[in-house]
Amino acid sequence: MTKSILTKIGLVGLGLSTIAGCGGWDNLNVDSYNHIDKGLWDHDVVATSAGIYARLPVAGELVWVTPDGSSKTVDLQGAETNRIVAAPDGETLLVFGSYPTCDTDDSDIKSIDDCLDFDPERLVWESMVYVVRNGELIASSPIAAHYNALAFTSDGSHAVAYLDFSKADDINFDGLLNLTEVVFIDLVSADTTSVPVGFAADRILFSANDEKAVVLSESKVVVVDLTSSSYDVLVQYALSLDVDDEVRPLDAELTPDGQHCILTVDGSSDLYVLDLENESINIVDLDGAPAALGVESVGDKTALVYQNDAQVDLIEHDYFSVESILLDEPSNNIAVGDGFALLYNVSNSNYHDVYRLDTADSNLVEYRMENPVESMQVAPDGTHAVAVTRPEGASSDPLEAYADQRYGIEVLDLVSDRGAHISQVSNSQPVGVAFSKDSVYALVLLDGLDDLLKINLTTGIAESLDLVDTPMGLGAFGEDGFFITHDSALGLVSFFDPATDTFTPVGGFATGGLFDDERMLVQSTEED
Amino acid sequence: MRSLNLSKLAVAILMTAVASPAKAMDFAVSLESGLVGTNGDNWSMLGGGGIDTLGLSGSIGIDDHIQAIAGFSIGGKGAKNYLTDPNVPGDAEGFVASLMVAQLNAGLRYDLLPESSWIPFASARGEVLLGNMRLDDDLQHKDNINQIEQSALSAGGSLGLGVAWEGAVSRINSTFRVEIEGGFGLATDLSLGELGNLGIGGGRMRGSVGVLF
Repeated sequence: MTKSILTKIGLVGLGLSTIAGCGGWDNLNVDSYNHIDKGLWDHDVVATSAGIYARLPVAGELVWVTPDGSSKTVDLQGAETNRIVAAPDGETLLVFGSYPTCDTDDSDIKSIDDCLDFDPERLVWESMVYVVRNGELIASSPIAAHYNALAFTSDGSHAVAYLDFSKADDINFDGLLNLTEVVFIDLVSADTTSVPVGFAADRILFSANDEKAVVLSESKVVVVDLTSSSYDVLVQYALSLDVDDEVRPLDAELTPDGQHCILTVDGSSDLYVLDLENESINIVDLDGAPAALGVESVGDKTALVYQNDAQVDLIEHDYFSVESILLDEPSNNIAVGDGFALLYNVSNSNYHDVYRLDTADSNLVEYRMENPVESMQVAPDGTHAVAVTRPEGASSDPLEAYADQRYGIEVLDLVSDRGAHISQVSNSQPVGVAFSKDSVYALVLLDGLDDLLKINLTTGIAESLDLVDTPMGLGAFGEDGFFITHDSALGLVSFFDPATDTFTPVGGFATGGLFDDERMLVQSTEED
Repeated sequence: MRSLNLSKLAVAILMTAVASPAKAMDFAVSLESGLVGTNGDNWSMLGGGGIDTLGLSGSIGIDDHIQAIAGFSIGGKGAKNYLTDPNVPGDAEGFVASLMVAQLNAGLRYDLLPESSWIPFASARGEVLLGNMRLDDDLQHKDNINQIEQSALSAGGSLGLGVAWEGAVSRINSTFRVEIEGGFGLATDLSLGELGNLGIGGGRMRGSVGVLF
C-alpha cells in the first residue's frame, strides 16, 4: 500500500518535472485543433549578400535570416509587410508596407482593436516604402498603395515603382487613382518623386550608365533624367499620331550603346526604333507581330521570333536592316548569351526544337529536345543551358512513351555545333534550377524529393545530396552559395555551400510575433 | 475512470497525511481541479478557452473564520494547427502548439459560517504561473529542427466566492471538506520573447475535495 502511494506521488513529481521543461517532445499536450488561413511565412524569400528576408503573413512581420543560424524581426516601426524586392546592389531591400493609424485625437485609442471599437471607419492604413539593409531600417517614405512592381538601375541607386496590372490582385486606393504616373525612389534617402509618364506605364529601361530611364506607357515613351533631383523629363515620344490608336508596347530593350530603344507593339508588325540622342523614331516593317525580342551585345544585333512563323529575324544596329532566317519550328522565346541568342518555344504546343543563333555570323545550330520545353536557363559562362521539359502525348514506342509522360532535364552544350545535349527523365516536376558561379554544375530540386541534385554540366552525372526536409524553392545566395526553402510550417531554410557540399539549416524563424495579439497603432509618420 | 483513480490517489495521500505527527485539527489538505482564465484571440492556436489544472492545496486555520491557504497545480493546453492554404509551407502537417503551466498560489480564505455543514466563503490569492510553450511542425521526427521551446512567468492575483461542505466520516475517523469556487483573476501576460505574449486573467473556477485534521 505504501509502495503504491509512493508511486503515485512519484507520478505527480514527474508531472512537475515536465512543467519545469525536462519532459520530452513525444507527448505534447494536444487536445484540440485550429485552422489558420495564411502561411506563417512566405516561401518566396528574397536573398541579399548576407542573408535572406521572409515575410510572415500571420504576424505581419519581416524576418532577416542569416547563415550563422540567427534570425531577427526587422523593426518597421509598426508597419506590416506587403511586398519585398531586392535591389541589384545585393544589400538593399525595398519593402512595401503599411501601418495602421486611427483618425482621432483620443489618446486612449492605442491599438487596432481600440480603433475598431471606437469607429471602424476611422482605421486607416498608410502605405509606405521602406529601405532596409542588413536587417536594419535605413529610411522610409510614403507611397501610393497600388504600386506593385519595381525596376532598378544597375548600380542600385534608384528604383522606379509602377503598377503591373497583370500582377495586381487587388488595387487599393482612396479617392482618385492616378494611372499616368510612376514613382522614382532615391534608394539612399528613400525620397520619392512622382513623374507623369503616360497611361499604364509598365516597362522601365535604364541606360548603361544609369543616367537615363526610359519609361514605356500606352502610346508613349518618356525619357527621364536620373541625374536631376526632380527627375526631369528629357523627351517624350508619341507612338501614334492619332489619339484613337492605342499602341501598347509589348517588349522593349536598349541597344548596347544605349542610343536606341527597340520596342515591339502588341499585335503589330511594326518595330519601333527610338533614337534617344537625336530624338527621332524609325519604324521597321516586319513580316508579322513578334512574340519576343532579345538584344545581343557581342554581335550588336537584335533577334526577333514569332508565335506561329518558323522564322527568326536578325537586325543590326547601324541601319536596322533585317536578315530573316528560316527555322524548322516556330520559337516564341529568346534567352540571350554572349554572342548568341537561344530560341525556344514554351507555348502549349508540341514543338521540340531549340536553336542557338550566333549573332555575329548568323550560324544556326538546332537542338532537338525529347519533350517540349517548359523553361530554359543559360549558365553564367554561356557554355551550357538547362531546359526543363514537360510531359506530352505518349509515343507508340514504349521507351519514348515512358519519357513522353514525364518531366525532364536537358543539358545543352552551347559550344558544340552539333546540337549536343544530355537528356534525363525526371521522377517528378523540377521546382528549381540554379547554376554554380563557375558554371561547372547545375543544382536541381524535384517536387516531393528530399534531395538536391548536383548535375555536372559536362558529363550530365547527377550527385544526390540529402536535404533536411522537403524543398520548395532554390535560389542563389551570396558570392557562390545557394539557399533552399523547405516545406516547414515554422520556417526552414538551408544555406548550401557548394565548395564543401554542406548545408546549414536555419529554422523556426516564422514564429516571431506568432502570439502577438494586440496590434498597436502608429501615432506618427516621422521618417527614420 | 480517470476521476476514480484521482480520487483513490487523493484518499491515499490524505491517509498518509493522517499518519503524520504534524496533524492538527484546523489543518486541511485537498486535491483540487481548476480552470485558469485566459484572454486574447491568440489563444486560438492553443485551442482557446481556459487552462485546466489539477493540483494539491492546503489550509491552516488562523482563527475560526480565517484560513491561510496555499496550493500548487499543473495544467496544459494545446492544439494542432492546420494551414488551410495548400500553397504555403507546412500545409500538409501544420504545427502543434502546446502550453504546460504550473501555478503556485497563496492567500486567505474567510469562512462565513465555520460551524455549519454548508459554509459560504470568500478567498483572495496571490498567484505565480510558470508557462512552458512548445512548438513542433514535424511530430514524426524526434530530432526535428523546428522544436521550439520558450518559458515565461506570470504573476497576479484572484478573488473568489464559493461554498464548502464539511462532514465527518466516522469509519475512517476523518472530516472531509468539499469546495466549489468561482472568481476572477488578474495577472501579467506570459511574455514568450519573440513568440509574443499570452494574456492570463479572467474567470477562475476551482473545485476540491480534502480532509481536515
